[in-house]
Amino acid sequence: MRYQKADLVLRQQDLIENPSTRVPVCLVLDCSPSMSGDLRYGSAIEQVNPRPIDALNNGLAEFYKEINADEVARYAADVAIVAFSGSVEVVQDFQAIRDQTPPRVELEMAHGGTSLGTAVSRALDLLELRKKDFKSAGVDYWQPWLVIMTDGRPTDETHVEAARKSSELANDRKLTILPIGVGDGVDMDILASFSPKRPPVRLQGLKFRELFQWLSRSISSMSQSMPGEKIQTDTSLLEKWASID
Amino acid sequence: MGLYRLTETSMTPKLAKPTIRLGASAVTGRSHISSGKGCEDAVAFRRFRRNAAMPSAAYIALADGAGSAPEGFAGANLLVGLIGRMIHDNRKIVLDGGEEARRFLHSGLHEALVSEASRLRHPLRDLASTLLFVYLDRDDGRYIAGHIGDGVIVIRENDSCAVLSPPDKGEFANETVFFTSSSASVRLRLYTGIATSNIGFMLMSDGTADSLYGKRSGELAAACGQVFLWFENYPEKMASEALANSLNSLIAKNTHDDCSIAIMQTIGGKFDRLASEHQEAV
Repeated sequence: MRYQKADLVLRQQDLIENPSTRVPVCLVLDCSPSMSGDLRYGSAIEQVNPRPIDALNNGLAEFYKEINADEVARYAADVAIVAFSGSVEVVQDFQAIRDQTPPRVELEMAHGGTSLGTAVSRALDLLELRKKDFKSAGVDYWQPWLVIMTDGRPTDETHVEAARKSSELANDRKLTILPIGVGDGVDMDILASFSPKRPPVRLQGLKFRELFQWLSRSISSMSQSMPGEKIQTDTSLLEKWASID
Repeated sequence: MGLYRLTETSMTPKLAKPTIRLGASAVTGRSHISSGKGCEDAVAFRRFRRNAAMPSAAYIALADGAGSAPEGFAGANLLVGLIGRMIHDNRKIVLDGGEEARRFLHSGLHEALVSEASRLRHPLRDLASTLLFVYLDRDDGRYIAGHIGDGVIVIRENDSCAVLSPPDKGEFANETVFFTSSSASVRLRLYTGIATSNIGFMLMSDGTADSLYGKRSGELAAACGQVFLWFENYPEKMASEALANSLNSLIAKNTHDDCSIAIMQTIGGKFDRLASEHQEAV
């Protein structure tokens, strides 16, 4: 038989293209009037520029930028944003953020209050729907992240049930939860009730940029992890923006 | 001159046994290259020659050490090196498959892993690894395949490829079962059969499956059939080189994971069982 070396080559079209594995990340962000930094709405975080809400949005922009600069994470990150005050708004449902600019989280001045529990419940619902979408489309995904950020105390009781649901998921290793308190007006015990595995941290000042840089690197690490590998978050980077009470 | 009736025995031609071609390759994934880790996939293949007591046979094996396991490669390497001999020396227990075979194989390999862990002064979980294997009896065509964890086993019969064993994964992308897992004894899947004509098997790790196996549909890439044809139509060395080149230059580029693959393809001849059937038909 004559051997034809050209027969001994595989081409890209001979392979199967599977969708990239995703990391679902839901950001639950406080946009209540106190995030304006105005003393009338509770203890001020800082009475300097930028306002807390602006620092948050700048941090979010940094997050998108860092994710898009990472060769793997830009195809993996799947992000939803839920903003809350007394009411809850899904600013962005889960979507890939490759080549996207972040939406702006606006202050909610019309409805006072802090319905943290309603926001977390909404986020958990969005996560479940997204996982169902992934399963039916045959898309692999890593353990989702839920990032909860608030600068105040809940003004209703919805957090009790929401904390029960999120804790159950965390205990079953179905969800990684990162609760973050901003400023001095936060009830860290209530924040802790959402996350039995990871205690809440307090943001140092308005270091949202550093927080989101850390988050993007954690997601990048996760998106390159292999079966059986535990995801290690960079504690040295964590210390740049977080204080643990 | 008289006419002699020739007996069936003297008329029956001796049929050659099939040739078995084997090949395997493993490539370090991009994430391990950048972190300075070596490849944690292990592959092995071997032919067993016939002797007075034992038939001729061959096996292929592949194992993927767990990312979190400091000695995952040691576990993988031990499993692929041991499984073939274990089956060959205990064919009577193993080749019929079933619960007895599963218990036997699991306990034997588990014991070996425990011993190796002790030697390395690590807990057993540090040697976590998946395992895929196929053993084929060249005399009678009986085979046994086994699988724990992710990765895929492919079978080729009558020129057609099919998934013999799909991945066993958890909900999340980095979850699977390993040989060191507490549930390993019940999650070790065994498949037995008898080859009726030329037969081929392919083992692939999770990284390779990213390019050769559709996660949603369960379909196989056209490349699978092409690789089997290489081993059918070309000398083993040439086909093996092509396999290694393809893994390195194409398949490994589509993932960050380690990639490994092992092939077994029979050509020509007949298995003894079929040869005897052929005789009866004459």
